[in-house]
Order: sequence, then C-alpha cells, then structure tokens
Amino acid sequence: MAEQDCLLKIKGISLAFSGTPILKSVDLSLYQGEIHALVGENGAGKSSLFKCILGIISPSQGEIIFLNESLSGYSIRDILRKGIAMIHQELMLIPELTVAENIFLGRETTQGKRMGLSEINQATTDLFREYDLDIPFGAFVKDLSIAHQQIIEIMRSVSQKARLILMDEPTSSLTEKEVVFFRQLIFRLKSEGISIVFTSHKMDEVFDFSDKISVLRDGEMVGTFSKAEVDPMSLVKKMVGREMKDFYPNALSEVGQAIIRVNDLSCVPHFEHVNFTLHAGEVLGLSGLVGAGRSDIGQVLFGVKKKTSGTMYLKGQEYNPGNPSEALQAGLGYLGEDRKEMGIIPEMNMTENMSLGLLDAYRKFLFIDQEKESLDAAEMQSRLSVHSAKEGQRIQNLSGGNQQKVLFGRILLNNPEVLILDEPTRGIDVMSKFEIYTLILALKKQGKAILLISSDLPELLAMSDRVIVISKGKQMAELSREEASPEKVLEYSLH
Amino acid sequence: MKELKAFFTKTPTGGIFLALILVCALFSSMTSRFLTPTNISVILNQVSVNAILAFGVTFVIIAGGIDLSLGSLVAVCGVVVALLSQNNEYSLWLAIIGTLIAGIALGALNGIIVVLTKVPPFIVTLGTMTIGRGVALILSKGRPISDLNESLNFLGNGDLLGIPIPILFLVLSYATCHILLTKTIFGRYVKAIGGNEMASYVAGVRVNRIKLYVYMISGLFAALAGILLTARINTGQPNAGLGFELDAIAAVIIGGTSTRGGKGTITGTLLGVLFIGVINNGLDLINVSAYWQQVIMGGIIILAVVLDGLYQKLKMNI
Repeated sequence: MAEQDCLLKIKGISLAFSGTPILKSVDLSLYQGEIHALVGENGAGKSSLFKCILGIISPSQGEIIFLNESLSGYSIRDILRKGIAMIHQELMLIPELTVAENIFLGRETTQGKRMGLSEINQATTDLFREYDLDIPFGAFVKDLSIAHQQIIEIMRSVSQKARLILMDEPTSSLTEKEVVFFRQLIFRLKSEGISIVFTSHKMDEVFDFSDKISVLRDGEMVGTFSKAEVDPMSLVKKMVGREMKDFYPNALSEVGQAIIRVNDLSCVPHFEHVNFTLHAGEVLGLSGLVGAGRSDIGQVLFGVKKKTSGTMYLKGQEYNPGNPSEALQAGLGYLGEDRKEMGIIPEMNMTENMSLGLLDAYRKFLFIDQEKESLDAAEMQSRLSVHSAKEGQRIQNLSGGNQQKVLFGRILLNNPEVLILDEPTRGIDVMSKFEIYTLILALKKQGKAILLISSDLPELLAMSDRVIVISKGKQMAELSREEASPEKVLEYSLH
Repeated sequence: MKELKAFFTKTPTGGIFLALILVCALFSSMTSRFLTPTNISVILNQVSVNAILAFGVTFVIIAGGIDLSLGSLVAVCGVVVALLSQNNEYSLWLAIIGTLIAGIALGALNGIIVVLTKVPPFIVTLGTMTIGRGVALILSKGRPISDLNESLNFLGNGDLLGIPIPILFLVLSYATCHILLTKTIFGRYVKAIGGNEMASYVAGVRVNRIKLYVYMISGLFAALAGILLTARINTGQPNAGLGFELDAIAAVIIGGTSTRGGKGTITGTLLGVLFIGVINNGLDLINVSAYWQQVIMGGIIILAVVLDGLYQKLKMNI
C-alpha cells in the first residue's frame, strides 16, 4: 500500500515503568479502512500501546504519526478531536442518561451553537437510521444490554468523526449472536474508511475480522502478518514464543457411574424442566446465550440459588443444598461466571484466597494453622503454576489468568468429586487458557464429573463429551460430541 | 535506619503512628506538662472507654457494616449494671456478667435485623440507636441511678499494681481483639466478607453467621464500656454515651480501616484512639477553649484521612 494511505505510523516507541520495560521499540503501521488485530498474552503491552496512541501516557522514546502529523505534545482531548477514539473494555457511559444524551455528552455546544434535547434526539435518530440500528434514542443506558451499550459507544465515536477506533477486547462480554452483529457493524465502518484496531483472545474472531494481525510479546513487536501468512496454531506460537502441541488437549476417557442426576429441575424465572445426568470422568457442556439460564443451572446445583421444583440426586441420594457451604461439604466445587464478582477477595493474597471457605480444615482450636495453610497453598501454586511476583502479593495485582488459577486451587484444595465451571477461561491469556484446558482434562481422567458452562463455543465443543443446549430457560437438545457442530449448537441456542 | 523506614512505609499503620509521634512532639514543645508519666496515665485512662468501643466496632466496619447504636448501648448497659448493682442486691459478678450478656443480646438484635431484612446497617443501627436511648430512659425512669455497689467503683477508679483498672481493660481488649482479627478463622472471614461478600458466600463462608457475630462483638464491647463508664462516675446515667459512636468510628477510620470494608487493623484503631485522645488532652493543656477544640478536632479528622490517602500514594513510590 502506498505511503500516503498510511493513517497511523508508530515509530520505535519505548516505555518503561519504574525500570521495567513495557514497550521495546515498537513499530506499527495502520492504513485507512483496515481492521487490524493486536494479539498477545496479558501483559504483552497491548493496553500500554493503546494508551500511548491516545496520549494517556507518553512514551520515553519514539514517535506516533497520525495523518502525517506527530502526536507528541497533544493532550488526550486534542487527540480525540483529531479522530482517534477508544472503546474500553469497561464501558464508559453514564447509566442514568438516555442513549442520545450519552452520544452527545460533552458536545452539546459544538460550533458555538447549543444543541437542545430535540436536536440531539434528531441527530441520534438520523445516525441510527443510517446504520440500521434498532435502539430507541430515549432509552436509559442502564436499561440496555452490554452489547447495545457497546454499540452506543461506537456510535459516539462515529458521530465524533473518528478515523481510527481502538477497541480493547470488544467481544469479551458479547454472546455469539451479538458478535455476529458486531462483526457487521465493524465491516460497515471499514467500508466507510474508518480503521479499527482491536484486541482479542479469541482466535476465530481474530482471523474472521481482521485484515492484518500484529503480535506483541513481552513488549516487543513480533511482527505484522496478513491472514495468509499465519494460522491459529502458528499465531499462538508467536504469542507465547514456544510450541504448543494441540490447543485443546483432549482424550476420551472411561466414563464412570452417574454422579449427579437432575430430574425436571426448575428455577423460575431462570430455567424450567431441565433433565440430565453427569457421570464420573465426563465433561458435560452447557451451551446457550448469555441469560439463557445456563449459569443459573450451575448456581442451583451449588446452592447459590434455590430450585423452585424438581429433584437433584447426588450419587443416588436426593440432594438439595441450602447454601454453597453445604454443596462444598457434599463434594462439589464451583467456579463462578464473574471472577471479580463471585471469585476473588481483591485485598487478600493468594494463600488467603485459596483457603477461603475451607479454613475448618486448618482449624487449631479458634486459630488458623497458618503454617499448614501456606504449605498447602504453595503446593497448589506449583501444581497449577500460579505466577506471583512476590510473596503475599494481593490477588488484585495478579493477571486474570493467575487469579483464575488461584480460584481453581481453592476448588481443588477441597478435593471435590463434581466441578461446576462457569466460564473458566473468560478474559484470560492464551497460555493460561491452555493450562486450564490441560488441567480440566487431567481432572476428567482422575474421574471427576465436570459441568462446563461457556460462551466460547470452540472451547465448549472441544472440551465436552456431551453438550446440552439451553435457550430461554428451556433445554433444547442434548448432543453427543460427534453430533455437536457449531452450526447445530447455535441453531438450537437461537431457537 | 532501614528497618525504621520499612516500618513507616511497609506497615499499614505506619502513617498514623508517624502522625501520633508528630502531635506528641508538637505538644511537648508547647508545654512541659504534656510528656509526664501522670499525664500519659491520664490520657490512657481518658481514652479507655472510646478505645474499647472502637475495638468492637472495628470488626463491624471491616465486615462492611456500621454500628451507630454504640452510644445508646453504652447507656442501656450502663443503666443495667447500675440497676443490678444497686443496694447490693446481687453480687458484682452477676451484675457484670448479666450486663455483658445484655450487650451481646442487643448487638445480636442489630445483627439479626441486618441479616434478615437486608436493610442497610446504617439505617438499622440508626433506628436501634434511638430505641436504645428510649430503653435506657425507660429502665432508669429518666433519673440517674446511684447507691451502687462499692466494688463497682473500684473498676472505674481503682488500680492494680499502680495501673488504673480501665487501662488494664484497654490492654486486655486490645490483645483479645488483635488476636481475634489476625489469628482466627473468624477474623479472616470478617475481612473476606468485607472484601467481597458474594465471593465469600460462594466460597462457602457462612456470611450471615459472621455478620451476626460482628454485631454481637460490638454489643459486648459497648456493654464493657458502659460498665466502666458507670463505675467511673458511680452512677447509672440514661444520657451517658451520647455521640460516643461517632468518636469510636472516627478513631477506626483515622486508624486506617476502610469504610468500604475488607481491611483494617486493631493496632490502627488503637493509634486512632490515642491520636484523638492526645489532641483533646494537649488542647486542654494549652488552654484552647472547649468550643474551639471541637472545631479543631473535626478538621483534624478530615485532614488525617486526606493525608493518609496521600501517604498511601507516596508509599507506592518509595
């Protein structure tokens, strides 16, 4: 492509925080109307690169050139005005304002004339009509789904005449169906000459969406590749810098006896009339869109939510946990959907997070046997290869992948027979994902019964021996590993 | 020198400790009456009631709650111990144990309402604060209760091996609470539910039970404070303890316990109590009027929290 089409050129930028290099002489060129994937493990420097482009932090070396003009010395506000926008992973909308008010927030007085509410609403209506969006301009943002909120943010960038939109894991909280719509939207933007750089941990999206793929590893730019030059396996290899045999390790093992049987189980209004059996040495996948009721099934099994009717059996005995503590004692382990909300205690360290809820096993009269506790946690740490920079570090300062491994450690310390894993790899880096898949497989081989809930369809299909599809709280299908193709599962999910 | 720097920068209570040393140095330079053994004993004696209340409520605040009923509980329990020890009707031990049980029961009432109704603890204890005040007035018929058992007076004004009894209670309460918070399963779970209640519940922590216990502890220490106060003034006063909850909560916050829950230390609370006590005492010694003392105190509380925030940021860069 000719040099004049170059929209953004990053020349040798370096960045360090208190002596630790974050970016090492990174080069990157972006062209007009290009969708560019930026991939790399957590901590590879993706977010820092975005922050440099936006002027939130200034690099110690190098230069960023946007439309033939150096951006150094410009404020965040100036850079936004020049046409670079960012969609953060945590959306930055005001929940108590309407859609239209959010889109024009801070710009009510553009070009010296004040835009009244009716003008804002009109402008929003026009914008949405142009993009075939079916979102009422007067709705409050707090009442919208995450996917819609994200579209509002993108529309805000579009209405600001952004030429380049940076997106940090835009699909991480979207359902399959919403991703399809998101894809259409970014291709539409591309056709209008808007360039997009996005990060993602999902290989299928990286290959589906992008024109070019750039790989960052430990702050260094490994290279920029066209889709023809790489495939998912070689890309992962470039990201982690070493060979990985098969991304989804799997081996069929002997399926043992039935451990959990669920008979006509309902938890109104979340799901109704669900039936399944979970065996020892088996991974049973629960698929469905977000909000279809799949997470609620896991929560009822673990006593977080109460069933409204139906029966559950654990090894032939009727089982009805009153709270998670009872489920824990019955031999179940649970990993919640949202690590921040249902998993970690941010202020506590790795050891304290692992032993949470299990301290009765370390009881010495009223006290905690801290020696035994640390010993067990350290053993679990090495077994799961949790990377903690220093001893006693708070878990909130660990990467998502390491936090997730600590939560696995908590489950395994109790040595459960049944594991309910809700989104075990959401938002974590590729290497940690691979390690968690290997772990799940090892647990399956040990004869654990595993209920896997995931919106990552390739992951779910690769890991599960059987798949149950839930749609709108109803059980739509039970598919064997052979029957379960992505198309079939999606079709039932959308039913 | 290195160890000293590490103490001030690495321990969570280093900041308030430094502040305490600075005010002590300031007052010592202004008056020679400040840094004397007698005055130190006076300060410790003065702060003992607030300290005992503050230790108890530290658990509540770390667990993510608040207890505004403390002052009223002090009054109720002060009246109860006075009634029980009036005219030598019951033995002193019975009076004390009965009062402590009353305190635990009243705390449990707070806890049960919080757990069952899910109404924010701020509202619940605001209600029980008013109820408690009323109950104290009802029990005492609105009048001070005198003619108390003489041994009770000893608890408030006596000494053991030269150490005033209230100071012994302060030390004992400090040690008990510190161990309870740092070494026991209960203490760990208090921090856990304050840090993330939902995650703790899902991990199998009996959240409601722990919440109930923290309010019971708060009630127990309020009862102890009520007993000491009644013993000191030798009268059961239905109007005693007015506003005590605010002093106790202020001390906890100055001591670095997060109002959002999840972290805090008993040592920090002790330092917060001493900080408030030293300032009150020092201002008295340099003859600042009681009216101005309140203005200064309020300003210092805000300043302390602001400075602590800055200090925490600074610490990250050392």
